[in-house]
Amino acid sequence: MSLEKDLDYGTPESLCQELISLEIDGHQVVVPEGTSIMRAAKQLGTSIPKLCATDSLEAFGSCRLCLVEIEGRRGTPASCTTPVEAGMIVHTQTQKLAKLRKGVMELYISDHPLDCLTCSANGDCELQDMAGTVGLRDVRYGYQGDNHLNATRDNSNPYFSFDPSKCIVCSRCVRACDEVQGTFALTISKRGFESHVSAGIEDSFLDSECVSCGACVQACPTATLMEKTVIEHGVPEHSIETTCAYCGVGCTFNAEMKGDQVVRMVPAKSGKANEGHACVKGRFAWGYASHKERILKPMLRSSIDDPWREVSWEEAIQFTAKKFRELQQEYGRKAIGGISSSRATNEEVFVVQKLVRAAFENNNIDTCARVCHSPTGFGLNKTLGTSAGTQDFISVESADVILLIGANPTDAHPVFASRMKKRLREGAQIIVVDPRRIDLVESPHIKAAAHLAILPGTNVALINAFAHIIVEEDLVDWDYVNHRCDKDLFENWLAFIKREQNSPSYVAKVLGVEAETLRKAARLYARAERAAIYYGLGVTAHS
Amino acid sequence: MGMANLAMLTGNLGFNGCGVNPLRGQNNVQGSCDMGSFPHEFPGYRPVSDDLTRLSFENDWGLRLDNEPGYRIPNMFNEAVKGSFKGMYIQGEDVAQSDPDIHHVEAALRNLDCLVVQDLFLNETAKYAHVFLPGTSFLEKNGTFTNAERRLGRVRPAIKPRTGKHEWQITMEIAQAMGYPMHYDDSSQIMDEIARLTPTFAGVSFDKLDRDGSLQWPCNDEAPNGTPIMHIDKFVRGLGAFEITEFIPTEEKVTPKFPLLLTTGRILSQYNVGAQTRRTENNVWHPEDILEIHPYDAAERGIKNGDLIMLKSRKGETSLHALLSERMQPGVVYTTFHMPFSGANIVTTEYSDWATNCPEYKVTAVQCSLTDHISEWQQHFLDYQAKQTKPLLQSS
Repeated sequence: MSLEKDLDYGTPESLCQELISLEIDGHQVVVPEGTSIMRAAKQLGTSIPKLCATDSLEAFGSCRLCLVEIEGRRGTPASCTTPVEAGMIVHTQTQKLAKLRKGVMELYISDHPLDCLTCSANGDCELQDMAGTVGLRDVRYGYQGDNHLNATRDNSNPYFSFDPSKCIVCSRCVRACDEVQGTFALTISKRGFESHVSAGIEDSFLDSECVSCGACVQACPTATLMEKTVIEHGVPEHSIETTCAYCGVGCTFNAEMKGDQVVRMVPAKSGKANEGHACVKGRFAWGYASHKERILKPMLRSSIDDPWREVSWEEAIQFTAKKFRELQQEYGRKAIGGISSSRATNEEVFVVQKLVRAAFENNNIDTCARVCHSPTGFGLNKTLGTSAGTQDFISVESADVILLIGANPTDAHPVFASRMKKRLREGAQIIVVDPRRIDLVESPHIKAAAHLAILPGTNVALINAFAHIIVEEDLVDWDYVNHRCDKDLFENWLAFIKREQNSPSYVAKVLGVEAETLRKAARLYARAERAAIYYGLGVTAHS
Repeated sequence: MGMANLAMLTGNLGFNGCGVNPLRGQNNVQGSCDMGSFPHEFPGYRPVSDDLTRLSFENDWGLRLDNEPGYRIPNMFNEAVKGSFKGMYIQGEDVAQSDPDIHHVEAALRNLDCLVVQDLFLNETAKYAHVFLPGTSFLEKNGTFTNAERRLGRVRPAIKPRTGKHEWQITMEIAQAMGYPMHYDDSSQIMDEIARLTPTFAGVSFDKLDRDGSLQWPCNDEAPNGTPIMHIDKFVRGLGAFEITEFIPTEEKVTPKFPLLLTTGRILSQYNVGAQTRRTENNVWHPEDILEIHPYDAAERGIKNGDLIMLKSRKGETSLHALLSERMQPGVVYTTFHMPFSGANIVTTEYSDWATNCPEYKVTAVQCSLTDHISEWQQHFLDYQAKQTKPLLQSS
């Protein structure tokens, strides 16, 4: 769960263009076709009670709390799984519904610990909220029947605990693992009264396939899956929106705080790079900021063999400035320089290069990122005119074929990998070019159309071979090339790419991949309606 | 370039669902490059030799600027070894761990009369430093990061700088102490200056970011709401340029003495040189770097799962535990280099810069054999580590 109570519409948005008009509790509402009654009601400001529904997941219809009455229809359908229809007249609050909902809640609570006051989710629990919403005052069945109250807690994951005694088997965690993260680590084992969430067959969370992205923890409406930091510190009291400092995905997070203490990091739904998802690093691995080895005071020493001496900021800065000026006087203006960091903010980097150019009075400024960026920068700048990637991340959701070269997103860019996997589950195809059989070659519900296990260091040869095949088999988009590209440069390049050295039969030996495999993959890329290339840092200048 | 050729050839640029996209390793690789961390380019990738650009910076900053490109990192190290380059200010980069040729870097850093390191932790580079300026974590920073889709996102302080100073303040105060009057009241003023001096960022401000959430550059009068997809209708350079991309095989070749190819990558739970993730519970998933070796290659060498093996290249050697794996084909071995103790830069050759993750450079010919001891360098690393941190731990 999260402190930041983003509006939860219960079910995902429908992207349908067709609009439908209906009446809910006497109010007219117009929504796209395919919208659930639950979502349409929320759009009017009406919250239908719910437990198993949340708008980051497809409707499931298991909790039986969101029942509604529809005029002219029998029974009480679930509003999350019932799509709107034109002219529908829906009632969300009737005596019949109130009684049904209360009955459902009674059943849940008859098998749930009554320790709300000391529960880690106290004040941040949807089950608690729903008990209040339906006006639950007593449980007719008592608490003595068969129950799960003594189920064993799994504390194996370092960041969150799993307490099955509090589980209502809504399967939000299972669906978050499948639909949002795409790992398929969790499942509901057994059926009926014995059904329970499990991470593989009798595995603990730590020993399972779980990648600890925390999507399940965020999706859990109770204290069943709970951050250990929340158990330790309690529910956060304020929240600050910020950007993760790990990889180049740059996820938006809400840092949920209690005074100066970070209680948890919750990925923001509003973040365009991540849309409410996160990985184990961004969500959980922020403890280094208060690690005991962190240095908090400036230090000096006259020789690198001496021990460090803590000094004031004033002393450290004056010492540095004086020393730098002395070195320039003795050895010349160019005797000093700086390196800026690709971990620092834009503003911090800008002032470092300004320090070098304006105060050091030279251009001795560089960054480690230059080494890996310059191939990208150089290549894309030369061919297209800009030193950067061409798309936004969401673009991958429209790709039909993905060519992935020398990158392992499930490990290095996990949140983008989840987006990519979602698109692959929808039917897009992927060609993986990597010496190693990475997870995107084959993992649950993912199977690459081709894995080109090339020898390390042969990317360029592979890309040239693709181009050669596309030219040879006339899969070129001539209209595009003629209208958008420089003719002379193209002719020149065409002569080069047609050479024997770029032919699949020749290149196959260099790569250690069969020529026919190359041909099939190149055709797949070339024939796609929309084909996208994603590559790892620094597939070199030539590729 | 080859990938851009391929995309143009098939008409896959300038539309949703297409494109050529780098997946950048560090959070602000894009941003630090955009911000002009280059010896030959101002912010926005404009040459220092370009008079008009330089003039705009000179007018804004109130002084004349050098029109000659400065030293790149390798030049700095070479000049330091020669003795003509004497002082360095290093912001948050652990060059002593991430640079390929450690002996050369060590020699260079030892030769500096004043090395200033600004970081969260006493990293490997700080072992050679004279001044250590404590930096801030992202939880304390106030500014922007630019991700791999050119998106500027706000970084807002959850807590005050635990060190008492923002990193930009440190830099600013060094400039002031050196006699250059650099002044900002807060980091939004730095972004205003960036926007003023960089055409692709002209429309960016903290106010606009706070209003819109995030923005993808170019963001200016032509694209006031930023640019999600580039090169729609036409390329930024005009007509797309097909460039010749000749394949040049790596110099690194397997030999009877070094018959295996080593390639490297990353694992989910750890991040780059591990300075952050090593200091979290993420170590339960990855307490050490492991060498993945194909069962066929392992059997030839009598290596079993979990055995300690010595990984040797013509450059040096380091020890790692083995994991038998069929993820690679026989003849290729794989490891991550998240732990300094693994000594990546001991084994990899001058062109195999694993830290920048350049696959073309990530090729090293190696041999693996069973061993019962860590390498000499690893022992040296442990001894040096103990010596450096001992006085510090005593004082605290």
